[in-house]
Amino acid sequence: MDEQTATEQKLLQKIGVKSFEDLLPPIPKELLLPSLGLPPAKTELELAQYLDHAAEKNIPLKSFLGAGAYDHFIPQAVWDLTKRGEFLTAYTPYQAEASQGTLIALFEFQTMVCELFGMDASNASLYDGATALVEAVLLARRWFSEELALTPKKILVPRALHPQWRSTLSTYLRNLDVEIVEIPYDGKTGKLALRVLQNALQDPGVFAFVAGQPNFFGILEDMDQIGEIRTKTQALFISVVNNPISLGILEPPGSYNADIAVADGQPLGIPMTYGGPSLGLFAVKKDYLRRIPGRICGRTVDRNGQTGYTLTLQTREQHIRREKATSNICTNQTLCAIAATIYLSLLGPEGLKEAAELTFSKAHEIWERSRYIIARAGEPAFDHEEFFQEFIWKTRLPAERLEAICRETRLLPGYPLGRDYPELKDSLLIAATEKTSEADINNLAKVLNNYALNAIRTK
Amino acid sequence: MVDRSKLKFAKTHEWARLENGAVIVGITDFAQQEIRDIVYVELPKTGREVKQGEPLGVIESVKAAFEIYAPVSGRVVAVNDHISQDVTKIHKDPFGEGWLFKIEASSPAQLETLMNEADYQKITAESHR
Amino acid sequence: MLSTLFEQSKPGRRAIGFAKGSIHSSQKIAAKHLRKNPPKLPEVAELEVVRHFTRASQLNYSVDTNFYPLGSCTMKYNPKANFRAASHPAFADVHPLTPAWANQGLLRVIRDFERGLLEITGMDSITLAPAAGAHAELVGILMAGAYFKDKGQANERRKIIIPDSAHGTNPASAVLGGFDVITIRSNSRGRVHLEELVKVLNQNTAMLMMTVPNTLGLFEDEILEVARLVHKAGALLYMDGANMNALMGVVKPADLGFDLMHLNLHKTFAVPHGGGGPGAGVLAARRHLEEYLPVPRITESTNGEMEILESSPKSIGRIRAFHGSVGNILLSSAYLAMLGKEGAVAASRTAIVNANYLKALLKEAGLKPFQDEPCMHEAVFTLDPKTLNGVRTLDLAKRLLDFGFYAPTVYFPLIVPEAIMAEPTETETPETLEEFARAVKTILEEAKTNPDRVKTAPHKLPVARLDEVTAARNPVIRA
Repeated sequence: MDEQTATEQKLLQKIGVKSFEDLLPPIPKELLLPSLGLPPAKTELELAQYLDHAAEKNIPLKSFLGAGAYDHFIPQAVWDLTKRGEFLTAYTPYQAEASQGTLIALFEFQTMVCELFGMDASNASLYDGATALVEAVLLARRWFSEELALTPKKILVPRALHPQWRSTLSTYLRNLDVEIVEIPYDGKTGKLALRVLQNALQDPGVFAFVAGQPNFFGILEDMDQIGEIRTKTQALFISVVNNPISLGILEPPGSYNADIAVADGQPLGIPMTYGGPSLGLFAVKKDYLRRIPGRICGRTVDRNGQTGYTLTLQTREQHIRREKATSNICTNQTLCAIAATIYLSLLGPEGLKEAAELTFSKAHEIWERSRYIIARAGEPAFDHEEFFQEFIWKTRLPAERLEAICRETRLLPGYPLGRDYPELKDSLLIAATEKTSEADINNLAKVLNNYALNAIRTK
Repeated sequence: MVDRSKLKFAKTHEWARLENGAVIVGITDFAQQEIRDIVYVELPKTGREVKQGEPLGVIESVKAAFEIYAPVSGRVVAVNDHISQDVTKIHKDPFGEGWLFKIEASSPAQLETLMNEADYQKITAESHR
Repeated sequence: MLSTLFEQSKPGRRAIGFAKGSIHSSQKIAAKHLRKNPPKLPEVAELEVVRHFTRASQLNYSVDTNFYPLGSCTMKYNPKANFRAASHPAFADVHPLTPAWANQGLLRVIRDFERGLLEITGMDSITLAPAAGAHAELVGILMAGAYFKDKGQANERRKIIIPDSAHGTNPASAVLGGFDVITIRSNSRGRVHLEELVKVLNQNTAMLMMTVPNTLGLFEDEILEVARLVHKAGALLYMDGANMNALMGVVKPADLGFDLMHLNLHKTFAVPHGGGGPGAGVLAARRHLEEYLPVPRITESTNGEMEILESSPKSIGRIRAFHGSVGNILLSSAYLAMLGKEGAVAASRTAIVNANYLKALLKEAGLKPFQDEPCMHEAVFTLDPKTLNGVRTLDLAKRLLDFGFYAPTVYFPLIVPEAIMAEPTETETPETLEEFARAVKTILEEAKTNPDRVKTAPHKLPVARLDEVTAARNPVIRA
């Protein structure tokens, strides 16, 4: 008998049964202990070989993809610290006294989110930016029904908002009697059509409107004017920050009258890993504090009067309120929130400003370099008067040709917009970060040039 | 000191008392003791129309939330703003300073559908058995 | 207690920097867009950051340092080898919009894992997109809505039935999905009450959501009859698979009659809990519900090429910005690969034996099991404060921390007064469980001789018992 079997025998004896089978549920025998069609167990070495083999099938590419996920620089200390077993393998801090490390980090995280956004209160994070937007819309809806005893049914969402976020929003709202009204963008500037927004807000059936800075096309919106619009309506203003790093140089939502601000926190030290796990950032003005979804950490004192931290305002949550909870969310993204907190601590206000400026600068360098190419084989989709890290190049080459060029050059020049925006067929959303090097830009210029020549030949 | 014989009781642990044409509502001493440390109270807005038995507020402890139900139908004409400043008033004086809101009853006779103190005490005694 | 980094901040102090003066004059940006007041982030040196977070981490209990018998949470050991998959640079740096042709290896690993999960659950189709269990529940509920809409029954089938012992996320997700919730009480054996179920089951029922094993750690032994009744009423049967750790290779949910179910990768499949997340959820369904699954989905062409299905006419749509919590999916795929065929069933087997062993030990130590019969992967107990000088479950939980153990789940499920729910998982040794039971016994004795010591616990942690009442009355949620 091996050690394992002997141990099990000893335990079964104490339990008072003869065999493991005696512990199994009373259901027909033919349903119990089915044979599983799984491969045999791999050793750690075999696992490593399996992964390396798979990794070889992934083609390394230089990419200028952005569109909601950004390849920013991650300092070494971020994950060296985040991956400490004491953070990694702890549970939700329900026993606060044994979880002060996680809790103080979350308290700092909430403070940093408030500071970044210029808002009053934040939670301990949500799944990602798209679901944070959903929660913001649901908060606005509850605000009207609970605080104002009104049940308006419309929200205004820009067409130039991330298409996957809009799609997520409509999935969540499909059974909730809320109508999503799309606000178009101006065909010349690519900015939100403010007139249309203003007119739409005349409708008392609107409970919230959304605007992003910059918008999905990378273009800076006139947030001062949009904030002004908020002062003339009862509808709540939900502001989307496309990349929180931009807040190193851009005005924060709190300064333009946003009621709720959301963002995807991935750029703050979290690897892209094909889209997740990510980090939903969520902040509000103080009026909405008790309606925030998800976990919140608070500062308090222990019985000796010493400072300590605990989860608080838990009566909003599903484990207590069940069907009346502010949200169905149970987990948050603690580990990613800790990574973002460490990232922001390492950068500080100056480092964040530098990261934002460098990103801005690289994107504009690409823009300038590609302009003469664009003149030969395409045109900018909009005048792109002001943008942060992304712009759109409208090519004259059919998108189908893109793949061949990418495969050949091992470079992805941008995100093709045709699927989400038929009117922007054959257009690419091109992004830079502070990591974009001189050599990268030269390579991109070469590919775009190729592209241009191809387009001329195709004509 | 409030004369409890003038109070009417709901089985959902609210008390109600008619005064100057309005029904004053609070939660009972038994309820505040059961809830223990009240941390927050969400009160209705004045002007709100309610039906008897409808939830119109919430009392929260750290790890539980309790609905407050309207003991009579009518319109909320006043709420006790002092409660939001200091929720411990409910613990200190549930039948007096700890009142929650006043309802202008659409049919004051509904008060008679509620219990007197003796009957209410029977219910609470049972729940403690 | 550690001070926050904000308190340590000194103006001008730096850790990480980038090249300066990089915006050229030709690169314009209007003054109105520019931030007037920089965010007040800490200004500290790298060593201060490293010390701060290292010290902070040392204030935590964690699976790597302490036994963590949290019922319902499955705090098993998270093998370090799993990180080989998640941190592999070929995967960690992949942009979510990378075309499938450049990402064949990663998609293959995910697909292999999907297959493994389908084998374990007996289901036909699957999505790994949900960010957590509650997110997966919502997906299942929206799929049920879409299914009945297709059948022209969207207006009648508005109700979801949920037992009173269920996780709070079940009713919360149902309401978010646009359904009304009917709660049914459990029977005296802690199972779904068949008579109560029959009373509410009708042409208005969309779905019954059940947790198997349930939150009392008990197998729903009348499940086959429940499934028959639900299907006869034309409704769907949903399994909350949070407790799947008891069932791998023991029974396949599809064989029990479930139409759809979710899994929590951060429970059964060893994604570390990370102090509350990120988790990852899975929704698996039978064939008749496949077309309603969210997009994007991974598909495989006949020549073995991995593809991404971006849209599908009957899909409920997207549920998040991108594919899923891929980093966590990779951790779990490594875990399952190393378990393999024999390891999967062995894990559940040991989880069940360990739970029953712990139950026997804790009963001996003086706790009263909710139901005196074999449990699955966890067991629920209660205690009577009246016999313990007023010492309550909360006090026992706090005092256990002094003995170096994290506390079991307390006051859940809600239907058991003074509930204590302990789940040992398969990765703990009998010696650890024995030591834990001894601590419980010591504390119950202490409750009789020195109850104040228990009621004022913990005494040996970085902070004493925290004032949660003040925290909630006057919330301070930022520095």
